[in-house]
Amino acid sequence: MRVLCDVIATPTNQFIKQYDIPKEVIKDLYWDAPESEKLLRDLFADVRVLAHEAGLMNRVSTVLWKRLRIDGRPARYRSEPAPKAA
Amino acid sequence: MPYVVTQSCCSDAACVLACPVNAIHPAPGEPGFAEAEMLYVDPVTCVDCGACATACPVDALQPHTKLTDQQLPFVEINAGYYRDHPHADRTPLALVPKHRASRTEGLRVAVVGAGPAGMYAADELLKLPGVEVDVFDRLPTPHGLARYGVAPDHPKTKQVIELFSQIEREPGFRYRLNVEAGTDVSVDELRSSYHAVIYAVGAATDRRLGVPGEDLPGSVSATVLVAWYNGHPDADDNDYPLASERAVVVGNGNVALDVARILTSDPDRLATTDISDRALLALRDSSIREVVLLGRRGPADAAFTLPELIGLSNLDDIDVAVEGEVAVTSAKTQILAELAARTPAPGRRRIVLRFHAAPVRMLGDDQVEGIEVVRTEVVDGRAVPTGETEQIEAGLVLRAIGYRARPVSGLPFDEDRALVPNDGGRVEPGLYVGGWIKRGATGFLGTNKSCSKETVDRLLDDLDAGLLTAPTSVVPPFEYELDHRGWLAIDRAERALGEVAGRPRVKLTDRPALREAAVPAVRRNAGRARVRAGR
Repeated sequence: MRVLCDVIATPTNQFIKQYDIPKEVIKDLYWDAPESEKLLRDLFADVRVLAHEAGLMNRVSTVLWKRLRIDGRPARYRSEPAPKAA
Repeated sequence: MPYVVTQSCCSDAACVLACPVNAIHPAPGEPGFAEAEMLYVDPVTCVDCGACATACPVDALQPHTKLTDQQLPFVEINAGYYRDHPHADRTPLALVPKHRASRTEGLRVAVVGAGPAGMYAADELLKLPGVEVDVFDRLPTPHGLARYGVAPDHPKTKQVIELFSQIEREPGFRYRLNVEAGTDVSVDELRSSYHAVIYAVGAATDRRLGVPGEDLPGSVSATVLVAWYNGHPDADDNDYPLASERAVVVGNGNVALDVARILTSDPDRLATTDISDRALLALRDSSIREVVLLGRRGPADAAFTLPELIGLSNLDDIDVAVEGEVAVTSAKTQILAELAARTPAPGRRRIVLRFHAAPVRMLGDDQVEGIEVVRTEVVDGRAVPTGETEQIEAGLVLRAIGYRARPVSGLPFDEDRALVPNDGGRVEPGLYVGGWIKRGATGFLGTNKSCSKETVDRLLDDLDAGLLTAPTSVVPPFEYELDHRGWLAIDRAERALGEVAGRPRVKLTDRPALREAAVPAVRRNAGRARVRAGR
């Protein structure tokens, strides 16, 4: 799912080359700057609810989600606007 | 194929943001939100995705395929709203306000009152990074009127407590229950211990009728009766004369409907709710067969909301009668006219809705024996007495013409409007109000969400302007103070008792029992508390 997120959200290599976008910009946008890192985490808020409710969150998966940088506060309801603190 | 908003709607409006097609209105900030009795789903726009239903804290949103027969009128109510208010200028998606740039790290805020307004205020604050919120309440139990005001036969509305329990678990949240602002800790102490203080203490008393005999035994406030049947520790020992055949309720708002319903409901039905055991015992021995609700003005001006009237008309253990002619001018009067045409079933207790009747005086010498009312006519929207009086025999007279806030020590108070004068929630920088003490006793449970959001916005304005001073002290822990774990212990104990009895919970209704169920926080955290205080 985390990989698919990149497939959907990030531009293709061809696109980057065609428009000559600097590597740092891409890195900042796709998930290295604090703002984009938060965006990545917020994207997964609805899935976190699902994982919590399905009982998928154990010690291993908690670490895994953290390593993938998609951990955090589960949404309270579907498509809840992410709070600034999450 | 729409979703439909039903009776329990509390105007929390989380659904508005959840909806992917902006089909739920009026939204907070839109014209009509303050006056609306509920929110409505536009059946033409709705795509049946169900996101709103996951957002609703009181389970009011239902797919139309799952509606019970009693809920069917709500299909037309939802659709009808959009015929009159098309909201044609709406954006394709509800607009989510941008995050503010305020630097909130280390912000410490005290919220006084753990009722809906206080909980929503804490929630808004905890959406910001690095904020700590201490929520004080004078009772050992939180949630204010959600616990002690919502009628026990409205379990869906009580589900909002689940939302509050999510707020309680947010990082930075801390309960300081059983601590009374004004006696245990003063306003000045609070202000020097926090960047800001939000008072959300509600409206603890009621509006009075101002008629002779109002203080006779047997003439009581409906708000106290509500507290009693909900097991409020301060009302637990109350005693009401339930030995007569008739009770009269002055007023016809939703609280009036609540008390009338509880007084006439089958006790066996109430026994499956979280009603106070003591009240249930008294109600089992009650001789009341009829409750008369008096409205000063006509049926068109009735104060109860349409969803509550529909709920009442659907009850099968109570007869509902309407006296007099009803001219059909609205959805509300339509239902009243249908009720007026019903034939009563023998043997059932009944609620009588009477209009054009204003109280003149209570009858009786050392105990209420009845009430004298005068017939009124509506002239320019006001009830004018005609001089034609009538006496109604009753052993219990309840006044239910509105809640009224009490002055808060250390804060200014507007006696006429019964609230703390404020500008969008700001009393002065560092001191704020939310909920009924801010706007007066109006609106529904979830109205407090947008109300508290406005207050928190003012607080952040002052923070951005550098008007908040850093705390210089700490409110020391009290020996009798309860924290979140204390409340969870009470909650567990009540639910466990409820499970045995087949009820959602059995409320502990007196302070000793509550104290026993909760392990006092200070004894357990003595070491940690000292460290905190020393910081």
